[in-house]
Amino acid sequence: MDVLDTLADTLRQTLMEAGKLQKVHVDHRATWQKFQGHKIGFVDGGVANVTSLGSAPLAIRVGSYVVTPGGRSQQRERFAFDVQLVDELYDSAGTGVYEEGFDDVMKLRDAARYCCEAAGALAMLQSEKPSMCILHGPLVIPVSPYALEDFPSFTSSTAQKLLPGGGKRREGRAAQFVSVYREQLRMLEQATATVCGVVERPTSATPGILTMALLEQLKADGYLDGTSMRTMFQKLREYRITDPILLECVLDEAEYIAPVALDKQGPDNKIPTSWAMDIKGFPRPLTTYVKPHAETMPIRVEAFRTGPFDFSELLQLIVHMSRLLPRYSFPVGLDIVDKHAKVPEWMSRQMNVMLTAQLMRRAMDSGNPAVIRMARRIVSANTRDWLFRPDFRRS
Amino acid sequence: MESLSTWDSIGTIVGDASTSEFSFILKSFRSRVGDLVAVPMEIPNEDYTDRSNIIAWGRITSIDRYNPFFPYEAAQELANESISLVDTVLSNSRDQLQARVLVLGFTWAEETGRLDLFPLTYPIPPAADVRYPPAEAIRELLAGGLEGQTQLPIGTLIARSDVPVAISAERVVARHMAILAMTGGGKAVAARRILRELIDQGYPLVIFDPHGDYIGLWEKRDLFPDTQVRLFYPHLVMAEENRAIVETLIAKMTEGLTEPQFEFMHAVMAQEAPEAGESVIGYIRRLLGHVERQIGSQSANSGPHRRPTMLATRRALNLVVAQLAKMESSNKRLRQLHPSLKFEQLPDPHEQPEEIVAPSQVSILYLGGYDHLTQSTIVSLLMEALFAHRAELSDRIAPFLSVVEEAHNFIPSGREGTDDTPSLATLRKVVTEGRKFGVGLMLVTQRPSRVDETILAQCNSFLVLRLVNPKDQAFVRSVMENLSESDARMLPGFGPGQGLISGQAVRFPLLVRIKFDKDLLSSRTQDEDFIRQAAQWKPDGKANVRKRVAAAADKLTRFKRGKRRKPN
Ligand SMILES: Nc1ncnc2c1ncn2[C@@H]1O[C@H](COP(=O)(O)OP(=O)(O)OP(=O)(O)O)[C@@H](O)[C@H]1O
Ligand SMILES: [Mg+2]
Repeated sequence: MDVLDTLADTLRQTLMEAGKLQKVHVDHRATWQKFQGHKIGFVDGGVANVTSLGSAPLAIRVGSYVVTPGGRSQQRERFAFDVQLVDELYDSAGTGVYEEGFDDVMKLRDAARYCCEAAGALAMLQSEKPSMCILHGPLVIPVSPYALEDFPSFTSSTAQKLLPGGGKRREGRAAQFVSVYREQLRMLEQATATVCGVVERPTSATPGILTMALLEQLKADGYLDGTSMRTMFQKLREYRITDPILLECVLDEAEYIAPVALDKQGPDNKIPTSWAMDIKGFPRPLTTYVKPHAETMPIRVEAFRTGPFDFSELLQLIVHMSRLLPRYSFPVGLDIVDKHAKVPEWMSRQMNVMLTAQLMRRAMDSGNPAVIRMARRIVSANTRDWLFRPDFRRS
Repeated sequence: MESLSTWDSIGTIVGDASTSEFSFILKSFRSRVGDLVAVPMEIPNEDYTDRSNIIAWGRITSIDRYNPFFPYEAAQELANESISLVDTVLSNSRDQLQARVLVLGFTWAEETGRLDLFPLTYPIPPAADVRYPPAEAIRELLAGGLEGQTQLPIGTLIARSDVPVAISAERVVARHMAILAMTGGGKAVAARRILRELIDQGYPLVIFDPHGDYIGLWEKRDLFPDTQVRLFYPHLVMAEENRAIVETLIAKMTEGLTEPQFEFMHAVMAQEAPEAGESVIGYIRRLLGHVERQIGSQSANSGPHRRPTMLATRRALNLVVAQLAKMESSNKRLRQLHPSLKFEQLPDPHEQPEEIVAPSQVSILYLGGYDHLTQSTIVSLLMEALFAHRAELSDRIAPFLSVVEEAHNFIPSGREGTDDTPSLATLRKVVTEGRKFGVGLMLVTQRPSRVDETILAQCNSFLVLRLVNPKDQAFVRSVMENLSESDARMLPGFGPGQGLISGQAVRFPLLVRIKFDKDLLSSRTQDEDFIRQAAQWKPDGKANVRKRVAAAADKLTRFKRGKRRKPN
């Protein structure tokens, strides 16, 4: 672990000298005083299989929770949710999505989930007009994996729904995931509220994109030379040191990295040429890692620039919300909306056994290897994974 | 039951559901602990070719309220930082009520009228709708369990005063019943309620009443014009078959008799046969005469018994007579406190049992003034005689129910170290064989854990009211096989007259509120009014004399023999 220690120490020192290590002053009273009367919204999606469906056992449930700290009235809290069936989202031109056509069910599900969550955030911004809207998960995902020729488009009515107040009728390419999601992000970016996403237990490549961006910047600012940077990249790769692992060692309690605008769409050579123009234009969220508590792993925060609160105030709120969930150290509002969006507790325990048995049988009947693979994963999943957070390894 | 669809939906089943238990999320303010609920569902029919619609019935045994969105960890942080939940982003509006339900059985959905209840053999479906049955449906369900039996209305369901609860007279009178509750729980009120219904049936009753709790039945006898209520005071009568019991009584009252002394007494008893109708005191006096004669006629140490042995035995018997006489007179004094009450001497149960047990007669035997041992002897003597009449099948007396208040004194558990209490053996016999001969017991006690376990366990019906003592609760659980844990947890929370009835007298365990027959209360002050008595208390006329004598006596103690008085 000498390598990790050395890397972390060096990075910490350099960040401090560059003024890129910031700290939230921990003070619950002052913090909650500051946010008193501000509506804060949380959005999360859950994926569940629904028995009554055929061989496409997936539904997406997007929940929202809006709360006003210090509120004393009945209106202090509002819960809502919306359920979508995956195979009704896509335009399968008469054939079931899962029977023929595109056979990577996971991709269909994940793409649908991202769009539904973004739509949930947009709907909330419109109806509740909160000061802040926090999503459970990344704010922007890499879209290349879904930019495929045969990836089905959403039906035009779905596209309409996914873009509340989104204007003209969409069809074909305009109704495909990349187009719809990009438009959603554009709308979120322009919102007057502070919009952000929080990722717990983030995973990343080695070296992680944030680390890479940081080192590049420090180099540009003259804090290190190109050779040192390349050596560091090499060691990070060699020892499989990801963003969270490195930053876990760099950060102290309540500290965070000065945010970096990150291009999450990856290197150009991975982007399908037919979509290159669209993907290049995706927004770059300000990204950071913060460690709300001394004993817990850092969490990743992604935000758009706009909104009534500046970045330090956002981080102040996130740290204090996370400290209300000290062991898990993750904004408690997201924990609440996560439970709310989840299929009820009872479905994930005993019912789970029955449902999954049924699901497995149906998957076998379908003969579709992707469905069977997915069903296997569900059957072996533990309670928390049961909901299938999309994994963020690609981000 | 066509109207099933109109029954209110009050929640949705969650979690594991089985054939015996389930939980459901209850809509706010729609039901309470103790309520009966229904779940319409399907079960496969016998040959598995089709399905049938049924209604599964259950009783709510507990309701938990919790906030599913409140992480425990947050509580610590809020407390440490002394911040209030509402100032943060935490949620407090989503309380959930989760009710636990014990499954009672099922009825066919199409059936109407008195409903047959069957054990559920196919699990309740998860996520099913839980319904709140109208009172009429519950009445039909409860009535179905008592078909062909005489119903004794005792009260209503705790949670629903519109649903009356009745118990089976047949099961109560022949198969024994226990009423258990801490003091003030409402045992006497409940017992009187049941007895009143049995009185209406003309069923013969014998009540052992140590505290006069049942004297109200005599005072209010006008309420029962067709029934004769008689108030007795004890009169211990000897009979050949009683010799052993009396011997036990004497032995126990004179604890400390040596073996030779006991042998001597035994020999004397063997020689003095009891005469018919002779009182126990009279008999012991006769024994004394015998001892006296033997002491006079026998020169020192010549006979089989040594003289000191005989003298000691005489002393012991004298003591027994004195004690019995004292208790008799204290019982008498207690009776005289209420001159309006007309007490009769208890007739000889061997010779005149029909005076004590007869249709449309209530016999109350007032035991006040006697110590536990003697009370127990009295009960034993009387029950032995009455039971013998029934067991001989001579039809000398009708079947009857006897009520034993303070049962822990009459059938104490072996742990109490009083296992040779005379009534223990008698009542054990009654509880095991009484069913054959039509002798029933109603056992009433505030200390169930001090009662003989095997006897209590033979009661086929239980009414358990408020019980706080953990030992008693644990004991009741061990004796009542079908008492669920959640039911047991309710026991300390019951108010007066609220309780759980279970066993053969009902179709399934029910939470009841016993009807309080205020008109049966005695006119005499119920609660001992010591505050008023103390305020009005004045020293008696001889108090001054007593004081003067005491002062003199005190002076006397200072004189010491053989020493000259010194001035001090
Ligand atoms: N069913 C009832 N409804 C309303 N009040 C009741 C009921 N039962 C009892 N009570 C109240 O509780 C009081 C005590 O009742 P009761 O004499 O039956 O208690 P108990 O269990 O026999 O007590 P103890 O062990 O002291 O004899 C009654 O006087 C009455 O006020
Ligand atoms: Mg009593």
